[in-house]
Amino acid sequence: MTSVGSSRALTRYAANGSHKWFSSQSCLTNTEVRKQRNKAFVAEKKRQMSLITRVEKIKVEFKGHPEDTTLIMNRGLSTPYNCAMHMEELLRNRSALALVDGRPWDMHRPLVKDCELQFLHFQEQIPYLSNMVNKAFWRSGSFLLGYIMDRAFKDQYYVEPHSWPAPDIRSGSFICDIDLKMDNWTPNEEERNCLTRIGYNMLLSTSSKVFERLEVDASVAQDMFADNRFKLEQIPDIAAKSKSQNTVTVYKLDDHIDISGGPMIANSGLVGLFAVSAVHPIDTKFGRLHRVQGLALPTQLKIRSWTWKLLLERAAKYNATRLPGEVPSSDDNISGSQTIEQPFLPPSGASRPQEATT
Amino acid sequence: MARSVPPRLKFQILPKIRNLSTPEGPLGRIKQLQKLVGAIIQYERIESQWSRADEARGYVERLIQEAVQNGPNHKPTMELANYWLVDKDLVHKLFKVLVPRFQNYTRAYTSMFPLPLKMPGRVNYKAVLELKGNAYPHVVPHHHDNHHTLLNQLLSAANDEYRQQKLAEKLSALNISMAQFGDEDKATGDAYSGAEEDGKGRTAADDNEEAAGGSPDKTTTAA
Repeated sequence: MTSVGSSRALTRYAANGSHKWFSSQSCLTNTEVRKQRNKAFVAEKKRQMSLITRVEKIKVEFKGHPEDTTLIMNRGLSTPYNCAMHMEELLRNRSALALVDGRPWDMHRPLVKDCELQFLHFQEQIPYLSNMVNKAFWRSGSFLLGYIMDRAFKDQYYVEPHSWPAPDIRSGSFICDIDLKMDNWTPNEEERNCLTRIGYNMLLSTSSKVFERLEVDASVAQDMFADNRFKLEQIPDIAAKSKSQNTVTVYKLDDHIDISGGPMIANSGLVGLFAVSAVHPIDTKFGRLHRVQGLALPTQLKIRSWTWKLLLERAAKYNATRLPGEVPSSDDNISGSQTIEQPFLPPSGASRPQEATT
Repeated sequence: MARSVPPRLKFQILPKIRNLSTPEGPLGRIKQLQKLVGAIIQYERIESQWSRADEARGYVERLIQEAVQNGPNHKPTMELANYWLVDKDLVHKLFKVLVPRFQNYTRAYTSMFPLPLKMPGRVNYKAVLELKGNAYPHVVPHHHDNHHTLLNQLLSAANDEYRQQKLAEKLSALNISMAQFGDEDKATGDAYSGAEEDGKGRTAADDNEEAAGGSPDKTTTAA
């Protein structure tokens, strides 16, 4: 279990002179790691903001309800959410995702150039738009599971989130694969309810929390996730696949930070019903991990308790979506991204919808 | 070029005329219909008793049909228009506005919607009669396609799973395995599990940009 990350973290903390949490390696606690990670995130965000020394204007053409308009916004500062603030309360409250030049874009991600803007919500009529929002919601659900498991246990259990597979709505539940360091633990009903309640505590808190997005250099990301052996291993690969070959996208909700390509939904207030449905131990090439499964619905979509229970029963079954470290099946490989996404192409003229990459 | 084929009507025109109740008898009926036909051409959407609207509808259809087929230079058509449209401005509207609009229509030029009865009260069936292609909002609200919302996707996936399970149970009762069931099952499966396949494809696509995952493997597979 000796890992680069943990030992690096130890030396770092020791250098800071904060010995009190660390009598040995096993005393690395979630709370402290979270605090440290937050500090790094805030500092990096501040640094990036300080690089914008001059306010430049960009032209944003909005299309849709209530009327088509043109807005003059600030480059690198204004977000789609800020654009919505100029228009209608409805747009602010229900928009989960923005569509910038036909591509999905986080509501709180600054705009960088002249663009066309649209807002998406959870009752879109057009299949490929609906699919985009659903996937963002499912991904945010996985993120939320990480948030919950990170603070659910006592300090003696150090939790290391591994990853989650690409969102698949029809599988019935969203997933987060986590190393809980408890071999055969599965929660009973009471414990499951407690986990769900941790989620609700955050979701129902008075002010809805925003998903903050930040693109950082691989070195910064490595520093940020120095205490997570899985992420440390993943970072170089993720960075190599990014556009600039060296950036990693991280998201922050409240004080939880994780790596994801995104996009995520706008804020936690958009999540209505929520439940941690099951935790299954799984055996992977990284050893014994736990697959945490959850189910959630947007506030915008209403459901009867009977139907919710039915969906919850299905979400509790083991979700066999790709395990961490597993090679995608040959079918997947052949079909690839190009051919299968065809049915979700927008009408000709609009640009091809693509998940925003890091 | 005027259309020579009259439009196909999806509503029935009664073989006998309705004697709309008026103190003036048959002439009163004609006057009432002139009023209604003129109103439809002028306002493009009117509300009336159901029977009167239905009666006027046939006359409007025929009038527009003649106008579209024969144009303004045809004397009998002009006489017909002159007879039904008391306000002579409407004759101009008929030939200059409506004929170009309905030039290529293959179906009825009008549509009619029954209105709800007011209860309690006298039973009085009313209807809305309108010319197609008008500028007003739709009478019947736009149909929303909710198939792809998150909730309906979850429910349809749950439904599919349930049906698969039932099928497997039935087959096991008959001592047939799913593999034996074979070709037939595959044929139906392919037909309706298109969305599911898409789901798989999407996961494959997403795997690349989804931040976490067994990254070393991915590089090898990509290579």
